Amino acid sequence: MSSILLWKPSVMPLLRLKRPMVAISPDQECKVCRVAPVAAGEPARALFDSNCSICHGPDARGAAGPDLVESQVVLDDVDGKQTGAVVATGFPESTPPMPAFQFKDAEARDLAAFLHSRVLAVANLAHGQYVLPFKVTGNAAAGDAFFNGAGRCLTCHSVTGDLAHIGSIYQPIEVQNAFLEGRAGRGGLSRGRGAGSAEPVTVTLANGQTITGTLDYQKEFRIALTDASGTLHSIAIPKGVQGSTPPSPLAAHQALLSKLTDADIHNLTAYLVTLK
Amino acid sequence: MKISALACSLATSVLACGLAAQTPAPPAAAPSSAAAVPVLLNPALLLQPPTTAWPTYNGDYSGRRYSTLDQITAANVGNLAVAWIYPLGGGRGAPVQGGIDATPLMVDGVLYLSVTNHVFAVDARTGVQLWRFDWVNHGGHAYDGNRGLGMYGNWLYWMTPDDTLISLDARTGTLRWKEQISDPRAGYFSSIAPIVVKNHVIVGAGGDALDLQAYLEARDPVTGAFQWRWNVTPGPGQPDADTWPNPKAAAHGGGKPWVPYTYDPELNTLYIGTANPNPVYAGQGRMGSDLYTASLVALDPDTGTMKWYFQGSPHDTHDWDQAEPPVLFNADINGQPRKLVAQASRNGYFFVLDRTNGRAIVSKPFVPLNWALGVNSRGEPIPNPAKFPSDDGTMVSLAGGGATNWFPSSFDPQTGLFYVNTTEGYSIAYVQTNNTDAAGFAGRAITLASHGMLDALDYRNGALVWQHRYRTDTSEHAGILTTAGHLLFTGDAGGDLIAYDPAKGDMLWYFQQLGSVSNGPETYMLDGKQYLVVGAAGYLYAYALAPAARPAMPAR
Repeated sequence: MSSILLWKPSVMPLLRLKRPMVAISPDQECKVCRVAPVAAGEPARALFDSNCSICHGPDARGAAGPDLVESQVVLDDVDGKQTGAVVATGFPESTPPMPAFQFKDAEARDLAAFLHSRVLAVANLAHGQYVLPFKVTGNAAAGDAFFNGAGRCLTCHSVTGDLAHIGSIYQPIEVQNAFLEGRAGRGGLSRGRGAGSAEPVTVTLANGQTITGTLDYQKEFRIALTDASGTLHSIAIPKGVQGSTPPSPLAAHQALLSKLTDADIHNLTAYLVTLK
Repeated sequence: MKISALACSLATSVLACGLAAQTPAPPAAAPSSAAAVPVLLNPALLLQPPTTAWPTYNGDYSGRRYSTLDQITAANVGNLAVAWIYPLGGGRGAPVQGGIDATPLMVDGVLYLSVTNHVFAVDARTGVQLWRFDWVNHGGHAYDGNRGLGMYGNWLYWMTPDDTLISLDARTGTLRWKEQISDPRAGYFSSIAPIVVKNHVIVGAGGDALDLQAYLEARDPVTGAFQWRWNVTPGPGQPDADTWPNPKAAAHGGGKPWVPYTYDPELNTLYIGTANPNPVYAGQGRMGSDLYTASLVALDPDTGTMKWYFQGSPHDTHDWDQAEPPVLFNADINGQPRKLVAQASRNGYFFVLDRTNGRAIVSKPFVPLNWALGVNSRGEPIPNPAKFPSDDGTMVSLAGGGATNWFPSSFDPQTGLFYVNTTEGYSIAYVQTNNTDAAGFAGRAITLASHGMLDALDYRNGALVWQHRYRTDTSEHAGILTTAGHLLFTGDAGGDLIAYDPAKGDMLWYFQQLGSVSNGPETYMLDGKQYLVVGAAGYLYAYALAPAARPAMPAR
């Protein structure tokens, strides 16, 4: 197999899909907290709400008084001692002044635990542990027209076939991301596999021989496929061959990305979510 | 500045060398009663193109990552062979977490390497581990990564993930001192390789978790004592404070400088890329250009005073920081010799500036872009508000991570080309809230499609001279090295280390490693052999020309 001229397919997708993003691992245990945040139950919340929130805000992010989520005292606190000391003396000289509070040790500990739970909540927020407040803002009728017209979605899809009930299967934001990536319909998640990975690949050698099989891997300098008889073909790709990744059923989706406006996207989402 | 190399002879103390770099007439080092200790790293090395050492993150201060070595050439690169492989941790003890982002230092036959929680010394001739230093991270953040070490005489400098600057004795790996630079409990996370300039160890912390004040700090290499701090965002009443809606937004505006800096000894200027502003995706609480986040900043290394800035991503809303390595070189523009700094930014723009004053010469996209309306009179892009992230999603023509990232680019003076591994693609970005009290990332970008390539750009106008589109997706971590042997080394995402002709882009040689190239390749001469050393996830590979690649069998 030393004289390979060309390998097919010659259809070169504009772009190749990336694997789904790996989520940032959530910070399961609160290493920044010296008091177990689970100790911050209702009593601590009530204590904070009735004594502290008027100056420090309902979520401790600050109002007339400072933000306690970023407070050095809270960060340094062990078992409520530092927080308790500040609360016991207040800051009479500050503007506005903070009065002293008479809390029992256990109450100070509860209060500190509540503040640590706020630190954890903000850190989790920062690490993406939240649901995006997605809104469907598009025009469903315009999306319908795009689906059946300029978008050329009918080339591969049917609202009574592979896309039936897609609006009940997925959350609206998932519908939007999925059709942009091309992984919800007939070629994608609904078939329970990755994007086009099982499509057969054909390689044409220099002598005209073709080899068809399932792709084992493709690298910069080599392609490997297994034919119907189970034989592995590991083929060096010679210099000058312009071949690319195998043709993907998602190529149309990727080509569409360069043409879609944000309005097209929002309209299409508004239409697809009606397919209950 | 010309350092007095003579004042730093190998037998004088490290302290005397440090002073020599700063004071005009250093007193002769007093003879010590103990035998003089040889100094491993002669500071004069830092001011020359590296050949027998790789003494800083970028090899030298310029960030060009171009080596004058030419034993390995385009003609003989076909004989390049593995000399040794070092597995992280030396193959002993508990497995070491993390991959090699760092470019190891190589000084006097020893490689110094770090990952998130460990530092290793490795025999550069054999890949055998000499010592290791382990750190227990109390930071509690979700990040990983470390860019490497700085060195001064016999001492190493390393930033722990939980923001402690550590000094180690390079000969033994024992701790000399540690200094807390930032508070990890507040959300700071450190990954930068300390840069040693004269008698300053310069570091900064990163971390997008909380919306923190970002800064650079200089510490004394001998004692760790504080020297100066430069805040990335201005305080109330300071210049450019009005690029933020209020002092609180500025104080929490981020911009953490997390990628190693470059330095021009003649201009005595540090070049620093700052990171994106915070909150990252939700910019409504920080309307304005948000200086000096996402900027290229020139600082005086002796005082921390800013000389000029150039903001590559005004009011960034996509995590497109400007932290990519600023590359310094002197070259002609319209027939006139100029001192230049070039940077390929995560937002897809290639910038070339006059590094004496920060004035833009080139501001040109190197991937197709739809987020900017053009550039202003300073050459800084003007973001299109219609492309800010939104609660119903806004698509931009860049992959979620941007067009490039921290991994080193290279400038080859033989070709006059600037090389960068880049990604083109599409992503859609959402905000987590439309309120002004957003925190942290406060949103998300979903990559819809991406494709990687290696670009060769003309520094004079940003024109694409050649491009290689990878068959596999791009590696997110492959840096680039160019050499006087008319070679360019980098890697793809399939594990291949590849040698290119830097003038034309032809691929000349490859080797499939156990991991994709995950750092900036480096090269040096040792015992008359030119070595190429490359990080590949959990392994370090060393290459040399066969048959000399492998150590000769000693006579018996």
